Amino acid sequence: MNIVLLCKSWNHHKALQILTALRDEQLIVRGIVALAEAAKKTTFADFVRKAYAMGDGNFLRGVLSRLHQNGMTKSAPEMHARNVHASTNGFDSAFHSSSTNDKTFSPKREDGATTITEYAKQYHIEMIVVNDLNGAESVVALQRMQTDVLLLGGVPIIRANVLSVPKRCTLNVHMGLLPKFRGMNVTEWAIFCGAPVGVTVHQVDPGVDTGAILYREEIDVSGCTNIETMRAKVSATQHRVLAKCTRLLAENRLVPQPQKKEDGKQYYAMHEKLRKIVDKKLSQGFTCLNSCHVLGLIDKVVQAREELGACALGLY
Amino acid sequence: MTLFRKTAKQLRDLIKVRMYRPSHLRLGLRDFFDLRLPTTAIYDNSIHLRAAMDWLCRAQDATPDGGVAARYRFSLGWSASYPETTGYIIPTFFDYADLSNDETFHRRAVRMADWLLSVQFNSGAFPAHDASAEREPRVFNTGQAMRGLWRAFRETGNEIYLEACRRAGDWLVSVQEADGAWRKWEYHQRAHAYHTEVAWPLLRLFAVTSCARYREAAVKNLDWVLSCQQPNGWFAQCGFKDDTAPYLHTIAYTINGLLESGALLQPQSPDQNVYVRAALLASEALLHRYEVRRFMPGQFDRHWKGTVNYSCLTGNVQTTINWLRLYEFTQDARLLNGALKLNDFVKSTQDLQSRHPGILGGIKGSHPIWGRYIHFGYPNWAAKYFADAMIIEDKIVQALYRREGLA
Repeated sequence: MNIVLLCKSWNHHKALQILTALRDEQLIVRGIVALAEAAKKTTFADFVRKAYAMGDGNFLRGVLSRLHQNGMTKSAPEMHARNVHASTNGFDSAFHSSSTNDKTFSPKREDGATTITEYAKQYHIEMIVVNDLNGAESVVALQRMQTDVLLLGGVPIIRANVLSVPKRCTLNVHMGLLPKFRGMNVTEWAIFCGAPVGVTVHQVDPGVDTGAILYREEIDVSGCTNIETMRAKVSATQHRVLAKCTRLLAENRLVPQPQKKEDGKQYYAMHEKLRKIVDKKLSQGFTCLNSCHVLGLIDKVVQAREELGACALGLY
Repeated sequence: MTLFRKTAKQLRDLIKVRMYRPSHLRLGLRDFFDLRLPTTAIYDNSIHLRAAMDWLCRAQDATPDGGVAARYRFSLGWSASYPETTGYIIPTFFDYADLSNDETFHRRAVRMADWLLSVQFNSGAFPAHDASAEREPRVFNTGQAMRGLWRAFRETGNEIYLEACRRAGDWLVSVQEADGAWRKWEYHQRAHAYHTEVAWPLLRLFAVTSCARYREAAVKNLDWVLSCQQPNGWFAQCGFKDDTAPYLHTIAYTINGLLESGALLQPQSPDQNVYVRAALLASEALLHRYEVRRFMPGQFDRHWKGTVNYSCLTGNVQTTINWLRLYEFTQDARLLNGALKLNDFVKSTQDLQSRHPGILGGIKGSHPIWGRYIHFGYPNWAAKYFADAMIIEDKIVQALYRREGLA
């Protein structure tokens, strides 16, 4: 089975984690199609400036948090996020030097590969860099690689022309339990609504997180004390689950469960004032509800998997 | 040559709106470069609210009659008092008087109501336009004046306001057409979906007087508006002049009238309430559009596609009020979330540092200031709806925080 990863050439963190998880599952990646760094419409610094300008606290908090983890900021990201509306002057002081502004950040890895290019070179994976993931260049590359399964690794909306190329399907891992929580910040929304947190592997269709569900896994976040630690835990799980799911799919052990539009809602980036509530709930030790009451579909998926004898993973 | 003419015209326009004045120039430059200087930072709602209320007080003081000046215009300064919006500013002043424990706002609201009494026609109708224009009766304006009179009666217990409200209601019933719409005595002699904002005060009047004809007239109009709604939530007949690309301002009026009427008529769950359901359908379409684009255009077409690249700030805050009220009905936190974000955007456009009394604390008609809606002006209704949005947002968020042990 030819597995191809679609990613951004500069978003190393997510793509590298997926590649590592696939390797752990002993799956061979046929190729990588990456969006050229030059295709970035704005520089990283522009994004941060824009976040300041728009007063987008959520976005800025995420960016600064990651910068802080990578030692690029002087002070705690929380402080900057709180001051997001206060002054644009804070922008320059948020960085050690202007030279760091356009740096992309990637985790230190044991194998030493810190970029997609380095990784592809190290493991002899064909990598094609394109200027538009939805363009003809991308379609041709995927066709040439005889793609069976296309995996999405943190990419913008992929159009039908690309989605029609893989012989089997396109897979994405979603940081929430579908079909109830579609869209953005769904881990936070799940906590806000008192619902279980988890990840879902689903087939990609032209809608937003509306493709057939292949697999779901609930995550116990009771030990997480704030949104950042919760997201880190969910994020770590999602790559592993995507890889496992890809293997199960290769072994024909998963049955797609179609979603109904009315079974869920599309959520959007959560406002700072509501995030405070989520943080508070987490700090008080949030515990999940019984998922079977919230998400009836889980029963069906479990049933389907039991029929296929695929419960060995210990999920659910 | 064409370029020369175009530039010359633009320069003439800028001179006409007195862009050479330092306070105007500063604002124009900021909007041009889309800068968020510390002067337009976002603070606690109470600070923004107080600034807007102070601006409304200055708008009231700018006229000698007790009414509130319709707007501050770059070209002509403060305008004359405007009965329509003075009508619906009255409840905001009473609310703020309660919130701030400041009796001054209560007294100001009563002054406004007294001025309204002085401009009412013998027929019971209220005039269109501001006090400087030729007086002619207008349906929509009469409905908005009723909102203030009803509240003045409730706050003071003075029957004179109720009587004026009743006369206004009688006039509205008398000029309504058989299908429930109002065409005569209306802007461009055409029916408007936003007359739901006239039906709502009639329902309130019914609640006080128990006079069935007010209720019947209101329901007839609401049902006519429902017949204008498309399956995607869009309302035909929603614009001032035509339906091509109505302002968010009039769309939000329509939704609000349905919502508040629905709350008065059928206070059950949204599923059973046709008016609230209709308001929800349109509001969800707007919410999706806003969240996906992260920008709220000032005008829309019938597919809910934004047709302009400026934002109608009045429409924005009216919309956040609708979302917040619908959140109270449905507990769908996505509506609250969208309202918080859109309110933040409007807060970021409020100038809290200007030395100019017409700009300080006011809310522009459009962002940027040269947008089509209230071009180079600060309408009083933008500040009014902004103040209302701040009050409702705080009420809801505080209640939520208390529930979660965050207060």
